[in-house]
Amino acid sequence: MSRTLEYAIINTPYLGEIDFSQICETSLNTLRYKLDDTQFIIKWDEGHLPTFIEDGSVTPFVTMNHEQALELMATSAWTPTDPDGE
Amino acid sequence: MALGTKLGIVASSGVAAASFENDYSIAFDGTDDYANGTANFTTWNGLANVSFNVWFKRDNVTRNEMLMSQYGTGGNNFYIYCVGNARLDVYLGGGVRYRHTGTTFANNTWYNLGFSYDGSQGTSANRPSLYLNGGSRLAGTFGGPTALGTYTSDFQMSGRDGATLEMAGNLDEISIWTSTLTEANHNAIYNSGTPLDISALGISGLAHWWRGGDNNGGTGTTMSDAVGSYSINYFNDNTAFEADVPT
Repeated sequence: MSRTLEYAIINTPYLGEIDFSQICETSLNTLRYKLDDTQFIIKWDEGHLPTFIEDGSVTPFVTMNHEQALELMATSAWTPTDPDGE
Repeated sequence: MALGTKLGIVASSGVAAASFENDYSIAFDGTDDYANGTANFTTWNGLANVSFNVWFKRDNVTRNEMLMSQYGTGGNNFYIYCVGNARLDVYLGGGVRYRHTGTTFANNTWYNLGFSYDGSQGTSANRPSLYLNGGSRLAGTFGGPTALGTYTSDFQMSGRDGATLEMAGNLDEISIWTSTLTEANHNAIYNSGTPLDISALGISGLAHWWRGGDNNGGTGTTMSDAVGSYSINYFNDNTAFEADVPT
């Protein structure tokens, strides 16, 4: 990808605090959630920390670079091995 | 890689037709990027003879990821699911129709995948066929019904049902056919590793051809359908065209 992005895992109770105009994601419906729905991932252009994180309205569970985000998304907590049991 | 593919296609009459260029593919970051059409995809509902062909490049072949899918009311109709570097499933019409194991894929490498379905074959195991890089029918377990069902859902690239199982990598020159392509057809599309104008190959049934941004100038958030009328017109998050193509 040509853009450099920063990533954060956010606990689901913070959903109402997310300002989608400041991140790449566009709505609650298009977020990627952890399989147990307790967390979701967001991303933004490097160097443009969303104000809702900067001012402490939302405290990320963790912030990551792309490589770290991919590693986390590949875990069984985020990706089912056999989504249809086949 | 910013190299493009430029081929001058010469018609059988000897008159040079419009040139074919392949400079872009559609790229997904593996976290929550995907793209889909916003209308229901009905092209292959109820058909007995269908095929697809796609070029794909995975950033990390150890991931579990879906390259494309159709999922919605009525459940799954279609997906291409890579289970790490150990398994490749093609699901179509209510079940896994082809499960291939045994190919070792490489990171950041372009592959061409072709699938053909012929529900008229008397033996279930003879109905689906899967081809990689224009080669012979892959080994695996396979079978399927005489015709596909009817599904009410959109067509998605990267992942399934929104932000689930997204891929990290690129797709290019994605085509859907309402005919059963032969091994020779997929080999012609593979063209020794260089995409070409598939509409000029004389293969019948080309219903949709999404060029990965080449007929959209490599910009924007719509991937037009070069032959049909089903555009991929919703790009989630950071999904974008990229100057990275098979060569």
